[in-house]
Amino acid sequence: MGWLVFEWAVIDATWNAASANECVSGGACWAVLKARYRIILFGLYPYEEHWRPAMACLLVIATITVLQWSRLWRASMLTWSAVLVAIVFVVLMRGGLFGLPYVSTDRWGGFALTLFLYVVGVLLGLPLGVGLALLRRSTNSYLSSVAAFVVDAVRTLPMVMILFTVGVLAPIVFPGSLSGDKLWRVAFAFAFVYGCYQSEIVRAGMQAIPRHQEEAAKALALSKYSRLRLVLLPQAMTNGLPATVNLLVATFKETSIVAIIGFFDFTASAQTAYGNAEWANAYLEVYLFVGLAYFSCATGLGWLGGRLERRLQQGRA
Amino acid sequence: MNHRISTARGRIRLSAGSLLTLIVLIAMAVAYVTDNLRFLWDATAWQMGFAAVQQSPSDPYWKTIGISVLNTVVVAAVSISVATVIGGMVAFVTISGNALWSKLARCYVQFFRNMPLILQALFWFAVVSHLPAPRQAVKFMGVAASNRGVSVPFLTGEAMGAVAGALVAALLALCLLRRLRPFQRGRTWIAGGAAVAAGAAVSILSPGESLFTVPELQGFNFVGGVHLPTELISMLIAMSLFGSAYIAEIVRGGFATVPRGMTEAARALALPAWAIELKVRVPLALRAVILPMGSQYTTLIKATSVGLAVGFTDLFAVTLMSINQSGHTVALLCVMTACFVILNQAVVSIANALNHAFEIPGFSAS
Repeated sequence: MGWLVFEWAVIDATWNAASANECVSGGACWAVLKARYRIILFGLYPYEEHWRPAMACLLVIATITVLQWSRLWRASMLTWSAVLVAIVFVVLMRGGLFGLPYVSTDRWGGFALTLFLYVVGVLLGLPLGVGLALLRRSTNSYLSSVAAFVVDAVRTLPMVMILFTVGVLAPIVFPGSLSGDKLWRVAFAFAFVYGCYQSEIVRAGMQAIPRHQEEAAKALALSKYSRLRLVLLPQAMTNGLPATVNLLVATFKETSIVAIIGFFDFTASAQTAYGNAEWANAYLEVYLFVGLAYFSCATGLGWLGGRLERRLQQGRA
Repeated sequence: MNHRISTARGRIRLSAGSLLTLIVLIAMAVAYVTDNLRFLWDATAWQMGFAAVQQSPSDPYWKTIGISVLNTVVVAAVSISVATVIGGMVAFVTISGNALWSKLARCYVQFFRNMPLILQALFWFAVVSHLPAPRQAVKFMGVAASNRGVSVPFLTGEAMGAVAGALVAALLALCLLRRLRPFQRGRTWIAGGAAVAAGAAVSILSPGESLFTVPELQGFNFVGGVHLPTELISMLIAMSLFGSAYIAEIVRGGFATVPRGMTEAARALALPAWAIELKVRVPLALRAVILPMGSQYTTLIKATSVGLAVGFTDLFAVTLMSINQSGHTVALLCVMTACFVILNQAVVSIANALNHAFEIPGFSAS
């Protein structure tokens, strides 16, 4: 069986062809990737500006790789590099500064769009999740029940529905006030949903902290803010790390949901890549490529998370 | 990274969830009073692509939306059942102890877990729609697959009656036996016998020739059996495989919580291997499986909304069509929210009740 796959993918494969009809060897038709890889990676982004999304994606990947170096694992370092990367990413993609031509968000697409949604969703969602968890634990019963209601409501509904409501229906129902860029609206909604799921993890992590930790911190006369920052949150985040890594991996896959509401993300552009007369029969190759890309990103993220976890456990034991 | 069960999603707390249900219901009542839901009684004038029961353009909105809920439930129920069976088997293979097979099972889980559901649905949709036309359909054991979807043999009405009769007979027998002779051994055998007898009786009594209808080519399409259109079958395959990977992890995690001493004690008592599995390990593992399984099921129910990508008319897709056609955006969103909340709450409540029922004295519920 393994041999059959190998034969199909390598030995009988066609690497150069003008259309799927020229792939007659019976093997994989990899020529489709050669012809259409730009659509898969960058969607409808202007052709001559493709170096910008490419640079932006490479920047994100490079940052994650560099942060492997465990000496850099300090909270301030992680925060600042993440914020910096996000800003550079957006500036590169959007343009309009430093002599880069402006590219409106409806031309963004492909892997770059997926990465954009992910970066924005996680970076805004994480602090939001912490905030919601704190609200839900607050002694003010009004605040905590509002937070509980919002979080539970978001978690009960399918994400597609939330993104669709915010992205497509909001400007129709409330013309004027809630317009603004569709992609940014969806990205914020995505971050909000992520935050709601994250807040449950943080809350569970806090519940697992032994009570004497907070009492000891109080005995040291630490202020409420310092107790949170120095004692409670670090432990809550560490307790919730396995679940957070799971959520991070799941969220990366769930960026593909925006394909349904009309964005050209990685998944949707795969469909476009084989969706013309020339390449109509090469769907297997395209999906294999895109699927493997998602697979390696998700597996890579999970692996990184596992490393971080083991490292922190060493520190605690 | 494999040692965790995904518990981040789902596990909606009952109290807050039922509060939500209440609020949505009140909102709907208010909307009804203020005449905002009256349009639900207008005819839709459009037809759904796939409907679990007959739907026509003259049906009112409430009926169409109800049928779409049924579609969602059918897809979710079938794929959850298949996913549970596959996931359970994969988990058993993983913990079987055979290095090669357990490695393969791990690969299976990683493969289907690490790809987006939409991508999988689109992939299967592309595969099915690239199959040959009905006349050259791929046939295998009565199943016919063509570019219009897959037709599978199904029980005729008579056979379904027989199955229902058998189930009723078995249940009755079990209840009666439990009442009359609490310590009788071999109850299962007697109940099974009753089931077979009842099934045979029903099928003999009712006039009919065959128990199955098998799809056959007539003209340009298949007649007979149950026809699963392309969008339905691709959703079913994608959700079953995707869900099975998660469920395998949950079941494996459940068995990992069984204390080794229990298995060793069972072995020391010279219990046969099947009894160690069925009477010791499975009940202990169930404690850690039921709740995460419930939240996984709600995740899968919500995931049916991905069907829009392949044109499957589930609750979400039909709500969007209704919004397009009628313009009652807020009211329709409320209706859909209510449906999802009720579906999810039902699953969560069942999981909680089951979890309660399977509690073992002396073991704190996890």
